[in-house]
Amino acid sequence: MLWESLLSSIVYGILVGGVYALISMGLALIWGVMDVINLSHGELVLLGGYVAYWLFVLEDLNPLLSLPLAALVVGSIGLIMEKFFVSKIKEAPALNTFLLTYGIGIFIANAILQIWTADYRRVNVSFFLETVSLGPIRVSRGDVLTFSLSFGLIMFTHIILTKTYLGKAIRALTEDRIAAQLMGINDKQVDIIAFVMGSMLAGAAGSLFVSLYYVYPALGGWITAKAFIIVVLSGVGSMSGTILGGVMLGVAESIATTLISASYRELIGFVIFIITLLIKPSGLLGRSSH
Amino acid sequence: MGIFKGKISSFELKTFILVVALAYMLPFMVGFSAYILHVLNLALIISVLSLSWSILVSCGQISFGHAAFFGSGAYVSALLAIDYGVPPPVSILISGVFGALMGAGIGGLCFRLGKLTGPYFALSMLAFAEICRIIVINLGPLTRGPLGIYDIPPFLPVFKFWGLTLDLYRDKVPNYYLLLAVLLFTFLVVRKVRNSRIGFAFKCISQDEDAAETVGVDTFRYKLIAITVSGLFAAVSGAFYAHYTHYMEPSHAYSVSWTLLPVVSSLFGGINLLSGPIFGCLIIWCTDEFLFTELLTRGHELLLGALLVIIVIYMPDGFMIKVKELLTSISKGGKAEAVTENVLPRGEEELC
Amino acid sequence: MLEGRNISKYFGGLAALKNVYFKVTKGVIKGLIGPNGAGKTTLFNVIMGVYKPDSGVIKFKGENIIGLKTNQICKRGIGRTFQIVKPFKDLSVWDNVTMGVLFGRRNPPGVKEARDEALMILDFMGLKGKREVLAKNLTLADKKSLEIARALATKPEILLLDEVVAGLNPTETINMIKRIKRIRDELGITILIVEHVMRAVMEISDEIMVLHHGEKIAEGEPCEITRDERVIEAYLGEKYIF
Ligand SMILES: Nc1ncnc2c1ncn2[C@@H]1O[C@H](COP(=O)(O)OP(=O)(O)OP(=O)(O)O)[C@@H](O)[C@H]1O
Ligand SMILES: [Mg+2]
Repeated sequence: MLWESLLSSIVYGILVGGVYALISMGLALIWGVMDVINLSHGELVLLGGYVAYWLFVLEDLNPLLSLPLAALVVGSIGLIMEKFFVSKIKEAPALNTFLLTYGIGIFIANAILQIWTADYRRVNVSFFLETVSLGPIRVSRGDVLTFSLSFGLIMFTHIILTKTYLGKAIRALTEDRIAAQLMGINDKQVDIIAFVMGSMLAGAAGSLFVSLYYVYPALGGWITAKAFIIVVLSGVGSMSGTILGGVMLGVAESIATTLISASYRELIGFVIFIITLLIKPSGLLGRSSH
Repeated sequence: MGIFKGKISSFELKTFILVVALAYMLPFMVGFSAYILHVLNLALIISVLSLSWSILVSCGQISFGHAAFFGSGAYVSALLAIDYGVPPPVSILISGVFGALMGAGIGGLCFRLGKLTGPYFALSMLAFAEICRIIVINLGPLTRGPLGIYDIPPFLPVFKFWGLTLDLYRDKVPNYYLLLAVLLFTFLVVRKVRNSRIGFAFKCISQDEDAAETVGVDTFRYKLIAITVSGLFAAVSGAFYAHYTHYMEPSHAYSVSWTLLPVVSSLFGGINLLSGPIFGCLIIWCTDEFLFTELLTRGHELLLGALLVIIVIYMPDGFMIKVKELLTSISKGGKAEAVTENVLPRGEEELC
Repeated sequence: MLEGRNISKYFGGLAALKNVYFKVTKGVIKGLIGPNGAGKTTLFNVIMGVYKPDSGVIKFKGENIIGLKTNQICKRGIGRTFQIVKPFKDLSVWDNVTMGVLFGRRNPPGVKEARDEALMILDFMGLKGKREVLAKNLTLADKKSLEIARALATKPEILLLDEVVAGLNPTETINMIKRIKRIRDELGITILIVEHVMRAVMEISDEIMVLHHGEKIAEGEPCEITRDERVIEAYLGEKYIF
């Protein structure tokens, strides 16, 4: 009995981990290229979720179909953020950008509150909720579908990053900004593109997220924290690392949730967060400086 | 004049005394309504919180979770006072000690074990605040769970002498004096710390941690001191908040407001000015209370967030420096670039 | 005075230092050279306790200093400058150096004396006239001098200089070399200096050791080094000219 529930929680964790990985990919992309930790990332994800929610309620659009739209909307928000705010303080100490995106996150979260109130929202598609059995394990169709889509999107991004000129420019900037500039890469332009791409990934992830979970305006910080942890675990710019990190977090959470009493469930995520930070020296991600 | 000329010169001391004296006479001069005084009182409490936050910043560490100290201070003091009959002045002190220990504990974990810097530390504070909240909710028998605590006693019980009644329950004026005194005390301590060897070490660390170590600054030790002192005052301000408002519940005690307000206030006032967090907080808090909450009944933090964005982009040194810059540029015939850092007062003491 | 045995340091699979042995005797100026990525800065970081080596011992005045924290090593008498300068940017030049006096010694003086002493050091390094300038507004050459001044303020017995000449123009280079010599001759401070500018190292050093891919490939007097085959090979393809 315990084994079975453990097994299903592992499978569930893996499936959820796919969405986590997609969420963290956007954060990692921006972090890697621009050295900006976008603290409003979770809010961007939320925003994508609410867009999908709206399209679902108002237009009866399946969240999977609204995915590109959510990505576009959030991508344009990202464009505004980069052009009018983040790029303005490029020269300032890193913590300023950090504070800036923190402020933007709070702004977006409360804007969401104004528009959609504090109620819990979710896209309930009956097709998604049906479970399928794989031997002793039962999973919902929605979980499998979102996992596959996340995986597909991650692969797609990975191909863009490795095969196109743009992707090569992005990766060059991640490696060494000065050298990339010397090679004639227009770093300002690539920054914008990376930021928009990262935001689009957030928006896309949001539209998947909202068909798995309830969303509410205050959830953003929490999503950012998860994405942050995954990036810390896996490092910037490694696709397999990101997927592995996402799955690890998903599985750890889901196992802990089955084993630990319900009232402390909320605690698990934060404890995992702190422990990951503490045992993983922060230097791992930061680029080595002389 | 470098940061080592840390003494307030006679003129600035006079200004300082003047401001304090004015503050003390304020309720007499202007017949403030109870409501306005109430808002001011809260502003004084949050100013203490902002000051405590700025201690950590002066040591180069940003915290996104000062609610952890604030809420815990509130809870410790309130529970001691209600369930164990400890008189609030004592329970507040104990909550300060608790906050200090908590700070030291977190500091030990983050700075020694985890060697966390910058964003890593800031975010782990955020997690600590959440962890505290969840623990308080779940320790029902001890903390009364999510329902919260009612009837937290005021700082002093109601008593009469010479026909006068001191009623900290209802009267806003005595509370005002009390809280002003607390803020003043905090300010003097912070000033003392920042103008001492400890403060110089903070300065080095905030500039460059590697370089600080290399010239012999024990960075861990001083960061630990910073977070301990910071935790102490944040907890004390939470405790005063509890005894002043008489009610506390977990999600309010650990609300994101207690993290956001000190951040916005300190940055707005200017983190390089000792009094920046205080003036910043008075202005921000009152604006928030009188304007933002009027404009947006729910989610007024939206405007705080927007304000934070504006501050970070347009006046990262705070509004006082910005105003000074503008004034200088006007008097110099509108040449904005006339002002460089060299002209500005660098030490925190000049603007007191 | 400063001696390291068998020092290895790995970053993941990469060996930044492999069984390095070195010895700096009191009163010399010792050059440390090697192509980019040879492990020179890493060696400094290991000496200063920034990284813990994977193997080996480092003795300073006969005592093992491995495991000590950087600030303790500083107080024991080892000063260091950074290849990429790290001044306290928003502090004045004077305050920068005063910090060294205040924190870098076992028995620090009071603030007043510290400031006076810092002024003397600034004078020595030719920065007295710029003492009120904020460090971030200095030229590169002055920033490098400031780094040295700040390190001197901690009263070191040995000074580790990481590429203090690189990036300076010819006049500045000459001045810097003169100063480094004076630090040894007048203050009696032993010096270990990393430098890419060969002319400078050759001129200044009493002896030189060469690192390549984390290994020591040669050691000796400057004239011997320039003739060493392995050294020439190591630098082949590099742009340095002897
Ligand atoms: N913190 C670190 N993490 C991973 N690798 C590192 C780190 N520091 C240095 N390295 C690697 O160790 C090797 C030696 O680096 P080091 O900085 O010591 O070289 P160097 O001799 O000082 O070179 P340069 O002349 O360019 O300053 C390099 O390959 C470098 O990439
Ligand atoms: Mg080097």
